[in-house]
Amino acid sequence: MTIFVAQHARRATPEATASAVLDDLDSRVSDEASFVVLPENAFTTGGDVRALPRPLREQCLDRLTALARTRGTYVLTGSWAETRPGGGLTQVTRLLDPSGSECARVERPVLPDGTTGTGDDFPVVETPFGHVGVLLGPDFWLVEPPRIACLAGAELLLVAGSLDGRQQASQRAAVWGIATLNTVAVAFAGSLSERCGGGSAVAAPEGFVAEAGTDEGVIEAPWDVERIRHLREPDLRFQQTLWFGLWARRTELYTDLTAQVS
Amino acid sequence: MRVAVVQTQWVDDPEDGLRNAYQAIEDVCGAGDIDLVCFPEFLLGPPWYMPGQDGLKGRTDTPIPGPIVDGFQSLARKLNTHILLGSLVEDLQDGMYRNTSLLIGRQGVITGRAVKAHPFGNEMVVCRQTDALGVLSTEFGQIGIAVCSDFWIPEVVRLLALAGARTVFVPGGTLGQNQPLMVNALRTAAYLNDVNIVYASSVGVVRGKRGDRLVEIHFAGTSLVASPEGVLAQAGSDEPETLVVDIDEPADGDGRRWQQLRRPDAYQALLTPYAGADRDLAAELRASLTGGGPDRGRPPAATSTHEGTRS
Repeated sequence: MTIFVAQHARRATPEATASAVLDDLDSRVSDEASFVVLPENAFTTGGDVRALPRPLREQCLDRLTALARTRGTYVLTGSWAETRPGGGLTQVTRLLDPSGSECARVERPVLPDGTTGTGDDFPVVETPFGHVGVLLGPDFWLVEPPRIACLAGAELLLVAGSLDGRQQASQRAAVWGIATLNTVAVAFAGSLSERCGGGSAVAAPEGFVAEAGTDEGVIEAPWDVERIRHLREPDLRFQQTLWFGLWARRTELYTDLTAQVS
Repeated sequence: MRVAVVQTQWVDDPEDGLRNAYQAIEDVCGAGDIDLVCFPEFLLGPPWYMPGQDGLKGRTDTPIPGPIVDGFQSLARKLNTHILLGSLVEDLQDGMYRNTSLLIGRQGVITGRAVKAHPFGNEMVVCRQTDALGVLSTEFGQIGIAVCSDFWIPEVVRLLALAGARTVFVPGGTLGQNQPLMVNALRTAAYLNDVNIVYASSVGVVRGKRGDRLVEIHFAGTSLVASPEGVLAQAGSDEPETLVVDIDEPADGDGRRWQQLRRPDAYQALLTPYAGADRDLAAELRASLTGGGPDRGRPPAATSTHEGTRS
């Protein structure tokens, strides 16, 4: 069982970006794949966020569906912007199962500055390879959404993301840190552009398993859900302690996290 | 704020631990103006309820107020500094205890306290916990204190940050096997919450016997100060030492941006337990303390005659 994560530089046109990403995935993803993860804004040019033209959108989805079917893998499609009734732009990511059917979808608004907004739903999907949480864009960088997915049982977080902060060294390290603090594995996909610093990685609670850094390509990492299940099992001899953060919570203390803060 | 982070060494005699703490304060404050001296959890030595430490009952636990705290208050007054007593085992005089962190101000007055909220190990049985998490107002602005295992619940630092803390003190102890991930987790918490993290730890080995088993718990130091930008200073893993670090209130960084995107109404699930939590761990620990419990640790360790953590 293997996780594949795509990281590519954005080309001059969406078509060129899509071709580079999808061709590379076709050549790199093997039959060992359990999950394939693409980034936020997977097929854009790196400039303004615009709706992906419908024909290109359908072509990308067709090819990713074929990838899921031929390799027998789950595919997080990454996101692209779609126009919604009323003209608003929405980032959409879909999780395809090995039959090519959509089993989860996350939609987030495109904000006036072109960045992606946050949302209210954090789906967790049961798969033969473990429970997976699906996150899109900045939800991953908030403490709460990854936490909620893990509390609901997610053992692996699939993140269509961007390393687009101003403190990118810390942001890069936080991919692992979020895995540690939630005793979860993270498959984070980011793009390369003027604003986005890559950072695609697969992280376990104990450390990075694979990192793309700022290189273009498809990284891969072995996946064993039993390792996460082992770490989450309470060890009252305290030889292992990573289970603690999920089990020792006192929910009555956290109500302020659900209140608006001035 | 100029902070001195004292990385202590476990010693067998609590009197030595106390003398070492006094000396560390005198030494670092004698070398220059220090605004706050921060100690790790259990600065006097292992609590009696740590495996194999029964003989320390009545020695590393103390009433508050009491003579132990009086001594630190006098030092704070004399040296015109704040002292954060990472934690003391507070004897509540009714058979129960608390893992209590105390902040002593420049005038020698106790100006704040934080009681551990998330008990670790036998604390689940013998300690009372706080029922509220909050920040402390100081001359340096609002600060938070997350006592050791409280840090491992990410909700805690988040709550403190949202309540206005810009620096969160974490008196703790790095278990040997957790050292690299501990450093990165502290750094991550600083980044995501846009706060400074001041982490004080200890070095050395706590040894004892529990039943017929030898227990060794290795503490690997690695005290550090982190800002949202990264680790500013970090101690080693083998020796006692003191870090002196000037820290400023963090400029608004990525963490502030993420916080502004929060949607609290969508986070109700934080108020529910972990979906996999299907055991009563306090009951299991209680039973194991009285010798009759199901020892439901992991199979590989269950028959070992040696347990504990290793570096």
